[in-house]
Amino acid sequence: MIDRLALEMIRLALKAFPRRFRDAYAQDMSDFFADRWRASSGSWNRGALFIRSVASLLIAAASEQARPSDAVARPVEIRGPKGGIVNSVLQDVRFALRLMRRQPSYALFVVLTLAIGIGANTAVFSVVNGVLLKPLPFAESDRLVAIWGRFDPESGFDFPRFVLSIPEYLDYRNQSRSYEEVAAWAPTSLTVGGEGVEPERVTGAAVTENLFRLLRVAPAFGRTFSAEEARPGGPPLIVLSHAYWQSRFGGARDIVGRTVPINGRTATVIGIMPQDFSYPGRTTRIWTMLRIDPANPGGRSSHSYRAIGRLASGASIESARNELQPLMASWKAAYPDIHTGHYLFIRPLLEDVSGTIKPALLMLLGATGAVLLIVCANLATVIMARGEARSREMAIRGALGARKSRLVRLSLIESALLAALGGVLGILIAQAGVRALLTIDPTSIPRSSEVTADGRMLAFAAALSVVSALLFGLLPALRGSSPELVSTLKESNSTVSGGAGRQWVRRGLVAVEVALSVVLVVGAGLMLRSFDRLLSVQPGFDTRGMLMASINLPGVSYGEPERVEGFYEQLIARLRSVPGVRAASAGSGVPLWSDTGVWDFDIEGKPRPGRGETAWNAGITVVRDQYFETLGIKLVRGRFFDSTDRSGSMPVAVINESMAARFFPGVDPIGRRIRVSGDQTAWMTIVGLAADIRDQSLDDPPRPMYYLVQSQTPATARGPYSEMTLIVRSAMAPEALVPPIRDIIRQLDPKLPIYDAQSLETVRALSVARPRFTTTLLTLFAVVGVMLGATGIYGVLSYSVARRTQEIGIRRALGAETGVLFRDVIARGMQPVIAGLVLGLVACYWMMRILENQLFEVSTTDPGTYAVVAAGVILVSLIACAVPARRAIRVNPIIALRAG
Amino acid sequence: MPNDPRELLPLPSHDFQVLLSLLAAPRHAYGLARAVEEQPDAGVRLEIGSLYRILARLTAAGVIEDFDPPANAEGHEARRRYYRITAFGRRVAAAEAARLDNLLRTARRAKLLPSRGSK
Repeated sequence: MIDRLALEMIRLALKAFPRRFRDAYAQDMSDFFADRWRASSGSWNRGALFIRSVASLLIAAASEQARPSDAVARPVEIRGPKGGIVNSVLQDVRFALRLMRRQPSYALFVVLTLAIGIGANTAVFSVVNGVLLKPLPFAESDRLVAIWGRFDPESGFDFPRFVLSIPEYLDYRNQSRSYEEVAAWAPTSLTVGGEGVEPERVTGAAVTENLFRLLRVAPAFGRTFSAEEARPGGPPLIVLSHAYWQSRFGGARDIVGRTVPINGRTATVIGIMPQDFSYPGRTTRIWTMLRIDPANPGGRSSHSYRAIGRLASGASIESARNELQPLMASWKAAYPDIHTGHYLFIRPLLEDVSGTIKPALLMLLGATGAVLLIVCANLATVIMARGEARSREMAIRGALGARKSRLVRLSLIESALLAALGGVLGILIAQAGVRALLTIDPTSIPRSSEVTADGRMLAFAAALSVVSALLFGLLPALRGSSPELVSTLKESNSTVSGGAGRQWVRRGLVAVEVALSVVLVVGAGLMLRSFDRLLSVQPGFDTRGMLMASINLPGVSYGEPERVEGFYEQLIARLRSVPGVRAASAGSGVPLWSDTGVWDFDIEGKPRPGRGETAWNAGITVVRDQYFETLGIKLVRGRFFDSTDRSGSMPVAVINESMAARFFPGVDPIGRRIRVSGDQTAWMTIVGLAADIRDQSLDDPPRPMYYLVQSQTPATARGPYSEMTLIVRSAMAPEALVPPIRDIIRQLDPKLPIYDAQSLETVRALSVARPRFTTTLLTLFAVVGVMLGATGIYGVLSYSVARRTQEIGIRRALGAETGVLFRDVIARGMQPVIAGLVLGLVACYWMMRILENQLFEVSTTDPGTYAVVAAGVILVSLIACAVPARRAIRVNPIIALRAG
Repeated sequence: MPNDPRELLPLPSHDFQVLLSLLAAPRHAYGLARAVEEQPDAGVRLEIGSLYRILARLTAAGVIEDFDPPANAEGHEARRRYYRITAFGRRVAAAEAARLDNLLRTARRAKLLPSRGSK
């Protein structure tokens, strides 16, 4: 498809050569291009080849056109005094510039329209380039792969992508022959400071010592971890990110070798990473060592690690995949309990980093492409109309001896000049646009720091300019270049607007513009409807006036469960006494923000599901009393936790409706007992049934969940929960509570930092950042598209009405009613609009499938959206037609008749 | 059509490259482009437009000529134009080479290059 399109464009460009040259070489030349096309691979190379070839052909064609042909006798051409190709081209350029100066509004219109099309495309392309195309910033990054686990339903779970356990990582590293290096890491968060220094919670990564070697990144100075230090029990060592070193340690070089208080212990700083290094994430500030004890690597099912590998030379991702299959079969044979329906898979690291946003970005690129096509169709109609207005001038020039080829060249040079100006302006628009794009959404676009204006972006803009110059310039040029001298000179007296052929082309272009606009607007309409649904989802809890803030108690000073409980009891009690606070509690997580985990459980009196059956598991949240009341989660039946549910009292649990429906169908769960799977955990009595909430995202349906009491977790969940998130509801702006909370915590323990302090409204807004981003942009492009489409309709109709002034004048003089004339003009204008509308709606029916995964509770063929769009397009087009139609019927017949 | 090779001198360097590679063997345009690009130190890339302008120019000057593809060619190979150098073309290439040789000798005298034989 693309191959054919490229070849067709080349054939089109070949038309710019003089006939003599074309007859001799055109066939051979298109074969030549086809050979080069086949010989190059990759879209980038092919794109570059295409652009180079088109540019080369246009230059060569212009030179051939200017070369005096010695074969054919021809009229003497009037040339500038110096002659020569450069001079005559310069002469044309000067002439084109003069024309632009004479009609600045026309030139401005063309350049601005073009700049919008090129700018929008270039801006979105820059994002696509930075996020999807650019290699990751590591040496030979195409050899880097991400290693993931997968749980098929057969395993009792259904996780298409899951993290690994250390034994899985070790086995894969040792058994696979495809890798130079395999590394593992896990995200951590660390408390830096204490002892007189303001404590701070920072994001870090615990990495195996080989990670930096694998990525082939050397520290800016100092060193990274060594293999000898990887043995368990060594002293804590850390590597700092460049940004954190600057902000927290003022960029002091002598920090290397010094110790820093981390998590209540001291760690030695051994190195600083370079400024542009940000793996695994932009916010990673500290790397600690993931020390693995091969004798005691932890459970094979303790999945919490990510793994990446660098393929050995000679291995490819395919060969590594081929190797993986028998390996997984042997794992299944060795550990049937764990590896039934659970196995590893690999994919390129780049896909891993940018995979999730790919469909949205490609959709936006498609949308801007449609805008550019509308721009070109629009300009082609405008230029054709103008070309016809100038056909007398051309005919006279022809009669005076100007060669046809010279006229084609003049027209092409005009288009090229306009395209070049539009391209330059487009680049400026694109740069502003990229900045704006990244401000709309700095967080949900991966790798956004790598989105920059670079050579590729400039090349893309240049290519767009060339392609659009071809699209909107060549067609009118070819049509305008064959002036039938006599008939054109005569035609100036005729009353019809151009020949029937030109009429048809112009009306066809209008239909195409309308169809493209319809596709854009339907796409935007569906996204808007979907986004509206998403915003109006009732999540099952109340975000208004809510503040969250997280705390983690270090194990060093809070080893005993009593100390943990004592701390939180005091903290919550003091929070509740702060003026303005209406309710306060804490939980191991808050909805839409935290991932609190999915745990297996047993039901008393029922045998555990066997292998191959769906395991019993549900989302878990550990909470304190008043958690539900503070968040506004509704009680369905029974009771919520209160202050009498303590470590010594009867262990209790609350489950949600989804869990009751799935695991206790047709029975009353209240009074039944469950426990977290394991032999040492206590049975908990279900005392209450909570309403469902959307805790993972607004568009995921609620999942089964159960809630445990924090003070009972030593018995019910194998240990105390020391990392909790405070939730506070108040009458004031939530953020205003942060200083009093900090004060209270400082009084209790000056070494503790709080982190993630933010309102739940912010959390909710962040959770829909990506759909907001795509919807905003798509809507913007649709509005631009419709406006351009409307100007196109208006322009074509004004032009044809102006050409029909005389005819209309005659009809009025003969007594035609103005109403009839008005309807007639409108009807003619609306014909291509209706054709385009039908075409666009049919195209939508097929094309909107690409939106399927982006839409929430809206069908891709939503009749309401289609109807509204159709009505809107008809309305806008009617207005665009009515203005010139009114002008036409108001014409004074006498003047109209004289005008001919 | 000129009879004196010197009328065509100096030959544009791309034209000379094309002639050099046709001296080795007759080729079609794509093969020619590949051959020129694969020459070490050539450092040129013949884009489609300029390549065909060169071919047209050299053909018009009688330096090269096109001929039907070999009988054993198939598919679109059979449709192609093949080019070979003419006797006149050999004289042009030789004259250009002599001109360049003279130029190099001047360059050597100006100590831009080590003189021949010395280390």
